[in-house]
Parts: sequence; C-alpha cells; structure tokens
Amino acid sequence: MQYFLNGLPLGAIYALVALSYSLIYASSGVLNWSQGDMVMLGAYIGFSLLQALHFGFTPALLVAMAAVGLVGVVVQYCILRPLRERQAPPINVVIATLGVAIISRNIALVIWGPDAQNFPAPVSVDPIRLGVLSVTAMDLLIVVAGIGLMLFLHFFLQRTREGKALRAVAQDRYAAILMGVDTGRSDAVAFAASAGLGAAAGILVAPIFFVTFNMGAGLGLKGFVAAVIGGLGSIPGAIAGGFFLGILEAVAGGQISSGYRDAITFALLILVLWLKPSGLFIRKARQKV
Amino acid sequence: MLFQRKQVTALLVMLCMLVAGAFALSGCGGGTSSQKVLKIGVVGPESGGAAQLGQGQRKAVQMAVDEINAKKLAGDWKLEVFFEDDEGNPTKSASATNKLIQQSQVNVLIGAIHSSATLADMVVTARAGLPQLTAGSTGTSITEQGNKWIFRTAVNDGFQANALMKYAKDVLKIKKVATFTAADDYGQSGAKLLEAAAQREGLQLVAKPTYNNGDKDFKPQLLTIKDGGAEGIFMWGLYQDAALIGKQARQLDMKAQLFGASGMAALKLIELGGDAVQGLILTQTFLPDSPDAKVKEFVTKYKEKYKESPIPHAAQAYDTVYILADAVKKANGVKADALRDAIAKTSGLTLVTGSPKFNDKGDDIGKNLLVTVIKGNQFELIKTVPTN
Repeated sequence: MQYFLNGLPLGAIYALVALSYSLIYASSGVLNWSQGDMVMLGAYIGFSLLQALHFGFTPALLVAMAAVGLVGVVVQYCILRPLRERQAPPINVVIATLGVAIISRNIALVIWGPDAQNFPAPVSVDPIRLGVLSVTAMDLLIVVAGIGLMLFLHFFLQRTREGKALRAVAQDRYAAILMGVDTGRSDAVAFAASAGLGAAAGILVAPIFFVTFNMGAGLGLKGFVAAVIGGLGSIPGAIAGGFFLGILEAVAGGQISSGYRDAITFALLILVLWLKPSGLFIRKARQKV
Repeated sequence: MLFQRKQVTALLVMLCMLVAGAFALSGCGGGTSSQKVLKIGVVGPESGGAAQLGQGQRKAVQMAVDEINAKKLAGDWKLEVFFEDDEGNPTKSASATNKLIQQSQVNVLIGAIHSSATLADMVVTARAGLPQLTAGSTGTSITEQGNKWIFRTAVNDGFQANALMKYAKDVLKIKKVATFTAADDYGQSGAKLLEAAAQREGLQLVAKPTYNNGDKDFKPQLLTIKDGGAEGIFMWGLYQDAALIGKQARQLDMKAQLFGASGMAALKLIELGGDAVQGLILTQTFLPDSPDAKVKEFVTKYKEKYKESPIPHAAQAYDTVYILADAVKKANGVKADALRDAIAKTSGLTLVTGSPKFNDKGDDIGKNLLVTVIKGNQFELIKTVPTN
C-alpha cells in the first residue's frame, strides 16, 4: 500500500509529460523529442524566479509555464513550420526536435552549470503519518496540482474556441482546413500548451528530485512510454498511462527488484507495441484528443 | 618544375626544425645526468569530469616539489616533475605513463586518480620496473594484484568500510544494518567491502538494495530497508544520490542512521541534502579546518599560493612527494629497486594526512582516517582512527 501511495505523485508527473507528447502528436502528427527538455527548462526558470527574483511558488509556476510555452511556440514557428512547408519527411521533423532537445540541454548547462540545484519546496516535505502509511504535503500538492492542470486542459479543449479548433485539426487536418480553421495557429497553440504542461511537470517534480541540466532525458523518456502505453495521441490514455506507469514502477521497484525497474518499464513498452499498439486503455478505434 | 619554390622552402624549414629538435632533446638528456636529480612523473585527470581532482593533485605536487628544492629537504637531491593529463581514461592514462617513462625518463610515477586508470598504469610501471604511488585511487583491487611496485597514499576503501561498521557497532550500538549502493564499479566494490565488514563485526545485514546511475526515486528500495528494520543505512555512491536518498528517507519517516564514504564528501552534499543529511556520518582522510598543526600549515600555504581550499586528493599528493624526497635521500640513488625498497621502508615522517607506513601490499597503514558527522553546514570531526 505504501508503494502504491509513493507511485501516485510520480504517476501525476508522468501523466503531465505524457499529455504533452500526446497533445502535439494528436494535433500535428509530430513526435516532439524536446518535450523532456521543456520539463527541465520549466524547472530551471522556476528555480531562477524563486531564487533570484523572490517569486512565490504559484506565480513562479505560472510565469515559467508561460515562458516555456513561448519557447514551444518559437520552436514550432521557427523550426517545425518551415520544415512542414517544405514538405520535409517526418523523420527530418523528428530529428529537428532532437536537435532542439540537445540545444536546450546545452544552453541550460551554460546558464545554470553542471551541478544539481536544490529547489525549495513550497510546502512541507516532512511525513504525515496515516496509521502505518506516510505521505508528505509535497506529494499531495503534486497530485492535486497535476489533476488540476488536467482538468484545466479538459476545459480548454472542450469549451474554448482555440481548444475546439485543436480538436477539429486532430480529428481531420484537411477537413479542418476546409472548414476555415487556421492550422498554423492551432499548431502553435498545441506546442504552447504542451510546453507549458511540461514546464509545470518540471516545477512540480523539482522539489523532490533536484534540478539538473539532464533531468529532461529520463523524465521525457518515461513520459513517452506512458503516452504509448495509454495510446499515443489520446488524452485520457496519457493520464491513465502516466498513473499506471508511476504506480507500476513504485510497486515493481519494491516488490521485484529495483535494479530491474527500468527494464520492466521498457519490457512493458515493447509488449504494448507488440500486442496492443493502440494503447492499453483505448477500447474502441483510436479516439483522438 | 616538380616542386614550387615555396614548397621547397617549407620542406627545408621543416627539416631544419627536425634536426634542431633532435639536437635539443639529446642535449637535454645528456645535461641532467651529471646532477643528482629525481624525476617524478605525475598522471591525473587535469581535464574532464574529475578535473578538480587532477588539478588539486598537480597544484599540491608542484607546491611540495618547490618547497623541497628550496629548503634542500631531499639532501643533495633535486626533484624535477613532469605532468601528464589522462582525462580519467585508462587508455590515455597508460599511454601518458608510457610517454613519461620513455620520453621524460622519470624514475617514479605518482598517479592516477581513477582506480581503473591506476590499474592500467600499473601494467606499464611494473613492466618497466618503476615504483608507482597513487594518491587518489581507493579501489581495493589495486593492492590485491601482488604487484610489488605499487604503493597507495590514499585510503583503501576496505579500511573505510571497516571503520564505519566498527563505529556503528561500538559507539552507536547498532545491530541491524542495510547497504544501499550504486550499481557501478565504485558502488559494488563498496557493497562487497561493507558486507564483509558487517560480517566481521557480527552485524546483521537485513537488506542490500542497489540503484542505477541517474535514478531519482529511491523510495521503493528505502521501503525494503525500512521493512527489514535496519538501524543503520550504509551508502556507497556520490553526493547527489546520497542527498536525495537522505531526503526521501526522511519523507518516509525513517529514523535509521545514515553512513557514507569519502566519495560523497563534498560540501555540495550538505547544500543539496539540507536538513535531511544532518547527522550523516562519513569517513574522510582530510578536513581543511582541522586543528592539527601540520594540516593548518599546509592549508595556509596552499590557500596563499592558489587562492582556494585544498581537497583531500591534494593533501595526499603533497604527502606523497615528501615520502619520495625521504626515500631518495635514504636510497641515495634513483635505481628502481633501491628506490622501491626505500619507499617500502618509509617511517618516522609526520605529514599532513598521518605518519606514512606501508604494509606488504603497499597500502599506507599509518594514515589517520577521520570519522566525521554533518553538523550545520560543515563536516565535524568525531573521531580519528588509524588505518591499520
């Protein structure tokens, strides 16, 4: 039971990163490998806002989300859009996103240095005892904030004009163009939203895992696995996949062997790709966004 | 015309340089043989991820050599030193050692820092029949090779593991222990030594989980340790992991005492770990703010010269040069066998990190091992233990 409880905050983080992959994949068909590094940028920008400019946690979270969202738009506008306009093969686009990832990582290395930084926790990290179990306020905050962001995303997609445009593009890009949807604009919105989600994941995870320039690689990969397990491109799938992976890692790490934890994760990825490539949690035909 | 005039000129110039270079080299070799000179080669990572360690070694060796020559501490002998960078890479380290022996004709080698690099260098020095002293490598296997040319002025990891377990049992009255180690060479050699030490002290080892490099979530392993009822957790890894382990243990409401080895002894451990690493006990060989007179003198001189605080590797390298000065004076020659035997018989010196004395494996057993505890933002000395 304690293992299960420990898996929840990790699951919420994975779910946010998985969402950021799926959002872009669903709307523009691009697999964006720089997603993990948006997580890292979010954590570092949040860290600087807190340390150098003495922001509170919530303002730092929001400003960092906006700033990294802007980075997402710039990446989309300056790198991916020109490639799409030249009708570059998909592999080139994927490689370009890898380039963005490496550049972000090196910029972070230059600005913030190679050493890990301690991100001050906004709430207590001391354990709260519940009988034999213990949780910390920070764990609760991660889960609550994560679910809050997911609800916000849901509202955004269902109720706002931009969100509806995004869903239309995800369903059928050409039909959406014919209906007068500005796909360039909706792509930018998707990149901004997913980079912002990544940044939020970064700031939420930073108080428990430190901030390092290469933190995006591990979290990005795990988020991607969660997205594939849940069905790449599916919003509910990404959320379910994230929590499933977080809990699986916590339980398998404790009950089987911590040394094989990552092996178990990636074995599951291969199994899913083999047996049910549309994702574990998708019942019918692929339902996007 | 077959060649342009310019090309011919260039060729001629190059030829002249080659000839001049050859003369310069032979002239150099001939000139020094008349004087009483001990040539010391130094190999270490002066660039790359462990550059701080190699730079510390280089600075301390240079400082010791300058002092010894200025004060004529090696009798009639003058020390001459040659540095090579190995970037912490065993292959580069072996070729750097070869270069020092062939080209600079060194009589003795100080190096390397990484245990894997030192092991590679040992093959070269043993073949050439040349004494080698490592001031930075702690890996146990170095002195387990039956190689008579190797000496170690760093502290064997085995001594550290024994001292930690002994302290846990005798002073803290701990009975159940767990090890929590990195799944790499360093961590796994530590895990084995800790297990052997626990057995020797009659402590019950209830869990021995490992973690992979780059892991951030240590809670599953910590829960296994908690379920086993361990009163002491012995970590063997680097500071970033140790800080996170400390934090997560606290989040899980664990009360077990944390222990660590010299590999994580960096101020960054305290900065990252904060409250969660307060009270963590670890062994080190050198504390810059120790009240010991020798240490104070060394730290003052080092700070004056380099405007920074010396690291343990620097203190050990500094002592190593003094051991060599003493050996060359006693051997009164640079013949490899005589020099080696003089080093092996080192005694009666009081240096920064102890009074060196080598056992028949080549490990320095006259060193002071410091058991320290993290208090506030520094390491505090609890106890000094000899390494025999």
